[in-house]
Order: sequence, then C-alpha cells, then structure tokens
Amino acid sequence: MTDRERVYGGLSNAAWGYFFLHIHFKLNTVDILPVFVGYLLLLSAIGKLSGERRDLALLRPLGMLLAGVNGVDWPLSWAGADLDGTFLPLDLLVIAAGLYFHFQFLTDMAALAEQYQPQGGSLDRRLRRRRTVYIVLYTVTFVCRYLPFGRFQDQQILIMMALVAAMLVVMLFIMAGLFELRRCFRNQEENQAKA
Amino acid sequence: MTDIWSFLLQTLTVSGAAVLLLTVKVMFRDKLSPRWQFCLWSVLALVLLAPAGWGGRHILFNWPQWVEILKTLATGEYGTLTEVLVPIPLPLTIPRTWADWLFLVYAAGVVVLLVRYVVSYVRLRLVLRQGEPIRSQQVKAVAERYGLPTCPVVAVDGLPTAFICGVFRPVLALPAGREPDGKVILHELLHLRHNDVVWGWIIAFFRCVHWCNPILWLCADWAGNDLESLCDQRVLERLEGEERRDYGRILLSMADERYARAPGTSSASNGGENVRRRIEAIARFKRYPAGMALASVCVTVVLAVPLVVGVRAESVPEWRGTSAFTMSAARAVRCSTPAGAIDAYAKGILTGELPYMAMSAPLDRQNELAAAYGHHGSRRGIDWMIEQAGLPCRPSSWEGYRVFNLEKLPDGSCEGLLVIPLSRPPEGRTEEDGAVWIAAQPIRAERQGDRWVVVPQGNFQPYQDYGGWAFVTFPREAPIPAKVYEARHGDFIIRAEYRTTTTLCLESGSSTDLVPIPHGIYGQTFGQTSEVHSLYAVYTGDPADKGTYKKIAVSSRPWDGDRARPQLRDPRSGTYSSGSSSSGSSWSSTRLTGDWADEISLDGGGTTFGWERDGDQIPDRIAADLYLNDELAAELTLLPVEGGGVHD
Repeated sequence: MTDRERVYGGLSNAAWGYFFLHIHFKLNTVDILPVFVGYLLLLSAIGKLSGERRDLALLRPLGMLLAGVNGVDWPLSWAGADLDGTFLPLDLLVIAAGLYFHFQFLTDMAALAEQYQPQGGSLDRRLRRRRTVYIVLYTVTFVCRYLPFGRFQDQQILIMMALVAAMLVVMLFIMAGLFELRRCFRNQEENQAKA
Repeated sequence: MTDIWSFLLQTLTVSGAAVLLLTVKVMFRDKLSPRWQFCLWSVLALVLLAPAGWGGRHILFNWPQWVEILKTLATGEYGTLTEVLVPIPLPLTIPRTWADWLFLVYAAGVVVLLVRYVVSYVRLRLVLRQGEPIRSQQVKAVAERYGLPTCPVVAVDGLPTAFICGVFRPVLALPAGREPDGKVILHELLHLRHNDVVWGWIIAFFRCVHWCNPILWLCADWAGNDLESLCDQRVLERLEGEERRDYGRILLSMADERYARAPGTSSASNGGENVRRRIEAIARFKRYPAGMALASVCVTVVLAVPLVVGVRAESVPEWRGTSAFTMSAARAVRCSTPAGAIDAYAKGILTGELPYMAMSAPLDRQNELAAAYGHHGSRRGIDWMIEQAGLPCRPSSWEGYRVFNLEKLPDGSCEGLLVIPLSRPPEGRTEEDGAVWIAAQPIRAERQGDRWVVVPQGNFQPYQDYGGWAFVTFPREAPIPAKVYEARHGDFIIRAEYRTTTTLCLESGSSTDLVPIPHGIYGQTFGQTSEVHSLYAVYTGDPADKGTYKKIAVSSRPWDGDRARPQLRDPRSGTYSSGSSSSGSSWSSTRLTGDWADEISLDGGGTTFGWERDGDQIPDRIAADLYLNDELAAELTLLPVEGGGVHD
C-alpha cells in the first residue's frame, strides 16, 4: 500500500466512521450500524493518518476506550439493556473522552483539509466551524441532563430534543465535509498525476 | 459537620469525586496542558466547599444512603438523618456516645494539624526576619525584563533554594552567598504575580480538614505539583530555545535537593519525585496539541456540573434486606416536593411497602416503621397499616388513589383528604350493587428540614359511594367534606361549597406506576384536578316575609390573592339563566314560588385545572353578586367559614 492509498483509506475510514457513529438502523433492539464499528473505523483512520498529523496518535487510547465501552454496550442492547446511565463515573469518563476525541480528531481533519483542498478553498474553515458548534452542542446537551429543571421538565425534554436534532444536522454537515475532504485528496492526486 | 457521620458523608463524597478527577487527569496527562491540569482541581475545591448531600443530592454514588445504613448498623438508630451544614468540623455537642468521642478525636486532629502548619509558618517567618534584606540586581533585572512585580528580598543562611513566603506581605527568600539562576527567580516572581501562595494555603486547609483521608492527601500532593507545573509552563512561555533547555537542566539539578516546604510558601524545588514529573511535563510542552482551549473548557464543564450539582435518589432500591439496610436506605431518599411526599405515602398504603412509608414519614416515626418492617417483612406492611392506621381492609391498589380538597396553607404545607378504593367491604359491612367502598384519611404534607413528609391527621374512615371509583363526585349527601364559604346579606346567607379531586397519573394495571416519585411535581405525579362547586342561598328571615321575594339569582367566581375583584356575569342577561364556565364562574337564578324551602339550591359548576401552583387549587375567597327580584342587592365576598378549614 502506497502512502497515497494509505491516506485515502484513512480519510475514507474517518468519513464512514462518523456515519456509523451517528446513523442508526435498528432491527428490533439490535443496531445494525453499531457505534463501536464507527470507533474502530476512526481508530483505523488514526493509524493510517498519524504519519500526516502527529497529534492523532494521542487519540488512540481514547478511541480504544470509546470503542470498548460501545462494544460492550452493543450486545447488552440486544437484551434491551443500556450501559448509559447505569454507572455515572463511567458516563463522565466516556463523555469527557468523547469530547476531546472528536474535537482533536476534527481539528486534525481540518488541518488535513488545509493541506489538500484546492487553493482558496474553505473546507478547513467549514470543518473547524462545524466542529466547534458540534462540541458546544454536545456539552450543552450533556449538561442539560444534570441541571435541575424542577417543574420545567417538559421544557427540558423539548430543549434536549432540539439540541439533539441540531447535533444530528451538524454531524450530517461534518460527514459531508469529511467525504468532501476525501474527494479533495483524490482530485489533488489526479492533478498531480496529470502534471 | 457536626458528627462523625456527617464527616464521613462529606469525606466519602469528596473522595468519589477525587478518584474520578485523578482518573481523568491521568487520561489527559499528555493531551491537555498543565494550566488545565491545575484548573481541574477547582472542580474538586467546589465539591469540598459544598455540603455533601445538600438538597437530598448525592455525587456519583449514593453516599447518603450508605452512610445511613452504616450509622444504623453501628448505632441501631433510625430516627436521625445525617446532614452536613458546613464542610468544616463543628463539635457542638458534649460527647456522649463512642461516635461523639470519635468525632472529637477527628476534630482535635484537624486543630492539631492546623496549629502545626501555622507554627511552622510563623517559625519560617521568624527565620526570614533574621535574614539580611538585600537589593538584588538580578531580581530587579528579571522583574523588569518580564514585566513582573517584585517584593522585599532577604538572603538567609542555609536555604536550599529560593522561595516566596507570605500572602499579604510576601518575601522572596534567597540562599545567602549564592544568588540563584535568573530562571529560578523568574519562576518565583511568577508565583508572586499569580498569588500561588494562596492556593498553597487552601490546599493545606483542606489537608487539615480531611487529615485522615489518604485519597485527599494524594490529591493535595498532586495539586501542589500541578501548581509548580503550571508555573513551569508560564516560565517556558517566556523563554526561548536554549533557555528552555537550561531551565529543564536547573530543575533536574534540584531533583536531589532537600524538600521541606511549609504552607504559605512556593518554591521551584518541591522534591525529587515531583521534579521528575514536572520535567516530563516540560518535555511535553511543545507537544500539547494547540488550540485546545474550547475542548479544555468543555471537558471541565461536563465534569463540573454533575460533580457540583449531583443527582437525587429517585426511589428506594429495589432490593429488600434487613431493616437496617432497607429502611435506612428508604429514609435517605428525601421527598423534595409535597406531591412527592403524598405520592410516596399513598403508594406505601396501596402496596403495603413500608420503605415507601419511610420515605415520606417524619423522622420520629422511623423507628416505629423499622420495627414494623422487622416484624412484618417486606410486603406485609399492609397488615401493620390495618392494625395501626385504622385501614379498614386491603386497598384495591391497581386503581390508584385520589386526594380531595388539596390545599396549600400559608405556612407552605398542604392539607387534603387521601382517598383510596378498598378491595372489599370493611369487616361487618355488606357490598351493595353499584357501590364502591372507599377509605379516606385527612393528611398534611409539611416540610421538615430538607424533606417533605406526610403527617396523618386522623385514621382512615370507610365510606360507601354510589358514583363508582371512576366518577366519584361526592354528592352533597355524601359525608365527604367540602370547603365552605359564606356571606350574609339581609335575610339570606349565600353559601358556596367547594371540592377538588386530584387524580394520580396511572396507567391501568401498570405496577411501575406504584413506585413513588419523590421529586414529582403536580403535573407529573397527578393527572389532573377537577373542581366541583355548589351554590346555595339559605333564608334566615321571618317566614311571614317570604312572600316579598319572587326571584333570587347569584353570580359567583373564585377570587384569589391580591387581585382586583373579578367581573361577574349578570344572571339576568343572556339566553341561559344558569350556567358555568371554565374560569370557575357560575351563575344561576330561581323563581321563588309557593311555600319555598329555606335552603335554595342555585346549581353550581365544575372544571378541570391546569397545574399552575402546587396544591393551591382551593380559592382564597369567592366573589358573588346577589340579585333579589331582578335587582342587584349586594356585591358579596364569600369567605371561608370560621376556621377556614374543611368542614363536614
């Protein structure tokens, strides 16, 4: 595998990884697009792209933690069980790890976009902006779960639904950005070959 | 903290948070900067400062529950609840039990350690006073070059290294005879600029308060070292190239130096092991990913909010064990709303679960409930309720319960009549077609400390109702109480009777609905409240004068608080001579013909409320316009009759 193929494969895994993280199809209680597969794809992307971005290697232990927790959660979900909410310290570790992981990963993807996008392109800026919005929404959504809303619990549910919906929309844009990054890389490669 | 149990609760709560934060710090050791590493301790500081278990909340684990269990196992006492008023020891009582003496030993330990720290600080200041005040050109040069503040400098014999001492009158102490490297001075001046000595005192204070907790001593050590690492980072941010390497070499040379740090000081040299960790952090200085400020803030926020706000126990654990375990765990679940307390009490009656009763019972009844649990076991509390609370027979639990005339009193407590359906007629009574047997008990929900409890105001009384459980409306003939309002004008007393029915949210046949919601608000716990009111006019004049009255009409509307008197409909106008609206208004007129009775029914109305205020559906007063012979005779204000309470 050449370096170019490796990078292309890494960018593909990154884009599909986010697809698995956020798009779910369930057959009864079984998710056929499990989250842990998404993290395994992102770990694979980290392995392939860490030569391009040194900081990505720092994410490997966090990625393994997130893949591990979601890997345990998946068979549990067959029986209708859910790790989320059963042990708060683990929830907090996973949330903190997830926040850092996605922020750093998307920061590195934006840096790669800066490298591969056509001159004057704005993909890097768009990816950074979407990353920032996503991380803030992620944080606010989590915090909303723990703030005592008292008699305004109906409003709390509405706010959280709105936040989750907004996160999903932002994530769709991020996925589109990552596929665009892969396309930029391929186009750059073709242009170099022509030249 | 006023007893050993409150100290235990506080220190366990803080320990849980500390272990989590230590784990997070290890996880992000090579990913987030020393600035973040030190700032994360501020989350622990907040947990240390917040009284554990405030508002019935716990952090990470249900520590209050386990402390209550431990306390009951150790003392056999059920009638107290551990509370932390302030997060420092306050031995307010004369020791009587072994637990009191243990607390006194702990409090003495705090004082001894505090005194030791203060004495060592005073001795250090005395040593520094004997030092020679100098005008160090190097200190002046470093301060000018980096724009840092300075303070008096003293040279003292025998000092291993330079350090800053003091908060209000800080002194930079230098070893006599050998002026340290400029980078060490820079390090100390940065401590001075950022008042890091204050942090040192705060850490020392909490070290004293939790002197017997090794986890917090470990945290104190880490926090002190993180403070030095942060200062190293500030130094490195001001140095370039070779100077940075020199700084690392200087730290390395300090690794074997003596370490005798006193509180109220800050020094670049803080022991070999700590210096080794700091050198590792320096080696990572350029490798921390850049632009991580937002991620750092977000990670801190998601950790801080659950650790500071905490969560509330939602109900008693499902497991059932001995009295000490089960009833102590139940006592620790604090009902935080009147609706929650009423719900726990009523569901305890319905299911016979004594732990539900314990959730809502005053502390002075906990021993009695625990004894009943020990005698009757988990699910046979209904026998005890039949024996002790006058419950006529087993309730029909799947039908839920209702509360009539739920009223919020001026002191914030709520009163009402709890009504439950019975599974069969009480002993010695017969079952009639179309009738249901119900049992009613007057109850009062009141706040005791930070928990809401239910205090029964009498025993259960059985009643037979022909409306059926689904349509219990309690006609006037039924002996179900109503709130009565009256006003007099001339020969007439105008009387309004007011009843509300608060219905539990219950899916038919769902056993999960019978698990209490201790923090439930009205709209969650109860499905709705219906009100029914009836209006009467009572003639009190001379029977011979009855003939002067040909027609009587009354229009009324509830009138709450300080609002202006509501506008009332004129019963003489419109198509209908009587009616009611969803606002609570009602109007009615009656022709008085022949030998009419003294008591004249004027109909009434009814509606279903939304949930605007907890238990406050009963109006303060009622505005009523009285019309006699089609003339407005009086604008009346119907007030609750004497006592203002509920009347048979």
